Amino acid sequence: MIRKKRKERRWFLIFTVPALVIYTIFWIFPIILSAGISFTDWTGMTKLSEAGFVGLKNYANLFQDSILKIAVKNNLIYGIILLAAVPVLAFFIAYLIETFIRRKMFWRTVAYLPAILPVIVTVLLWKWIYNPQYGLLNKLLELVGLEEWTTGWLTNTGTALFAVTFTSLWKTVPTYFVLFLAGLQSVSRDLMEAAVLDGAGRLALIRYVTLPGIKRITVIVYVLVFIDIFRVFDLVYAMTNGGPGYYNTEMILTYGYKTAFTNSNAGYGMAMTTVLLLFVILCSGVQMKIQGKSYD
Amino acid sequence: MKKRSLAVLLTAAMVLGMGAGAITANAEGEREEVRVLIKWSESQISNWPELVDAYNADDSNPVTINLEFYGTEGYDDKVKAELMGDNPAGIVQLMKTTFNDYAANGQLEELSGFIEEQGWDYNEGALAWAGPLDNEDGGVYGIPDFANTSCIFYNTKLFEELGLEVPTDIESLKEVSAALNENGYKAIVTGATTSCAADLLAKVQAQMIGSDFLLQCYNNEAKYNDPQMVEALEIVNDLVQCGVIDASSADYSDDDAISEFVMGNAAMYSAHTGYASSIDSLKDEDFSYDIIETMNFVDNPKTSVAVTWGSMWCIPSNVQNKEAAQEALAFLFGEDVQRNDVEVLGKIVNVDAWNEGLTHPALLTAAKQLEGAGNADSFYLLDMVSAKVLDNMSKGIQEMIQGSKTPQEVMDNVQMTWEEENAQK
Repeated sequence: MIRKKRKERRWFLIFTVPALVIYTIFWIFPIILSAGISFTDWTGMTKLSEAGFVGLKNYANLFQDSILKIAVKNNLIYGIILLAAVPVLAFFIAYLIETFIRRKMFWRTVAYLPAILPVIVTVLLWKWIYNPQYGLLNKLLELVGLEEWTTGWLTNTGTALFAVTFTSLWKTVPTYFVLFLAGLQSVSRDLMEAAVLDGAGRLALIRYVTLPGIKRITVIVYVLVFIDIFRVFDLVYAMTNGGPGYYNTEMILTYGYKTAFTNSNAGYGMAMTTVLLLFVILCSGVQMKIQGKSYD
Repeated sequence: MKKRSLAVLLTAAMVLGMGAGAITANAEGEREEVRVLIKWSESQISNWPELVDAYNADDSNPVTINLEFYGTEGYDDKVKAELMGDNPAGIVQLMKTTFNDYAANGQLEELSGFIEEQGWDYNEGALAWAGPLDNEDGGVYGIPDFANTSCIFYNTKLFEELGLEVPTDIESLKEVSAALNENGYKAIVTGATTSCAADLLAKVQAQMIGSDFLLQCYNNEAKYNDPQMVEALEIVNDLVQCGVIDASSADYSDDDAISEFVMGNAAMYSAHTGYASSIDSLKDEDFSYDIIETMNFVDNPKTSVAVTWGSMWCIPSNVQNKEAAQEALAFLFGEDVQRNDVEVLGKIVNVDAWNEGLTHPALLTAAKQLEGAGNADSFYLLDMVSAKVLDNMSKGIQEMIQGSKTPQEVMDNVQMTWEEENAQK
């Protein structure tokens, strides 16, 4: 018995250690290293060994950084919109396709398509749509007589953040739509039929049968969207690079990246990302605990 | 049996391969290879590969050169990694802000002696700023490649058709612009979402205040929001308000602005001469343009031209074989290659005598402007001060063109950003 257990443990180690080693080298170690760098004045241009220890200076500077304040504000606006819209839209698209539409396979594929497009393709596509001179959006507005609404959507300081957020929605919703789709397929048919027999209408069915049936998935979706909000980088970087004007679409990560790599202040940039990481871990933990409790 | 034969065969192939590799390496090892890290794409210096191939093929040359084209994406990180490593490339191309940082950090080789040895008659102004901005010893830490004059391109045909005189100062520029606007044309467009927004200010600033002032700002002896700087930006803002610089520029990248220019929607395009190749690649055959030869934004300008270099070509101070790197640099920036750049690429180089082969009409005008005028004062430093400050300045000017910020607010913001950056470092 003991020998069998030992053998099992050996196999367990054989299978897990390589993955753990890779995970430690490429995920855990860089996180620890960047946290360590955040206590130094490393510029990122010289050898790390030449950097000096500065204690909490980089963390104290975070509170005095006017651009970071703008980035946090932008990230919050972007986040609130995504958190409010993504789960709701993803659920309803999944529900519509599962409940009302006939050629399900075709529509599932169509709805999922934006999720599999590379970010850079998405960016090129939407930059073309938003282009002030020949963009599709402005042409459509002109067509319906709304010429006065036409603008450079990504270059107008008033519209850029919302244009980027909308693009992100377009790309993000399909990712979570698949999760809801899987959830909807797992809701008990018997329960549905019983509710219908009891006289439940469509809304009552959603409220009392479907939503409780997919609660666990809903929790996961909210946590993942929350994490996504603070991970936004490539889309913004490629679409507007934080502009137009005074950092109107700058996000915490894009600013952290520029600080560390473009502005040659790696220590300070790492302090920014370390705080962000701790914040996301903390919030996700709290969120999971609260929603997990309500699930139990 | 089969497996064993296969294993023996594969092992033999590996051993033979390694042997062949070693022999080849030995044969090539006679001449040191110098790697050249290049931020541009191959199309930007399309003549170099052929010239380098010919150089490499000649066994009498002391080294072989390996051009490594990276393109913009990820290049700066690549350079950082190389300069921090133990065996960096022999030559690296650096853009303004990163050049300043690396030179200030002491990570680049001093090249004054090398240039003197080569006997190159480099433009005094080009070398004046070939070091960090707090360059106390006046050393040269890189070879400045091309001279890009800050300029306004204009559509010669359109000017002729409308019977317009080429402007020479602000008043005549306003008159011409008003006539253009009346005829349904945009006057000047520029790429305000990219660096050309700051370039606009650079033109005025160089004429009005001079490079020394920016040096003082960099060394915290003066402030970016000094009344002189605000006044310079007010001149730019006035041009926007009068319809000289079209407000649609706020939405344009340089590609967009060039499109407007070559399609004939805008009569002028404000940028620097480096953009001539982009115009050429987009324009129709019957589209002709030139550079406004004299444009005085202020009375008695400090300099008749505002010029900058394209990039710096440097030898890392931790390079393993300095002599080999210098040999390669001597070839790439020697007379033969540079004259070829002028003739084939249509670039203006920093040795006046080598610009003889220039045929591009607009660049001929720019070269004429430069003759004898390329001193330290004519080189503008606005885009060399700090990446963060420059970015802030460009963003501010874009806001100003959109009408949401005043020149004073823009320059206050620049100063605040600079102070914050200093505090963070």
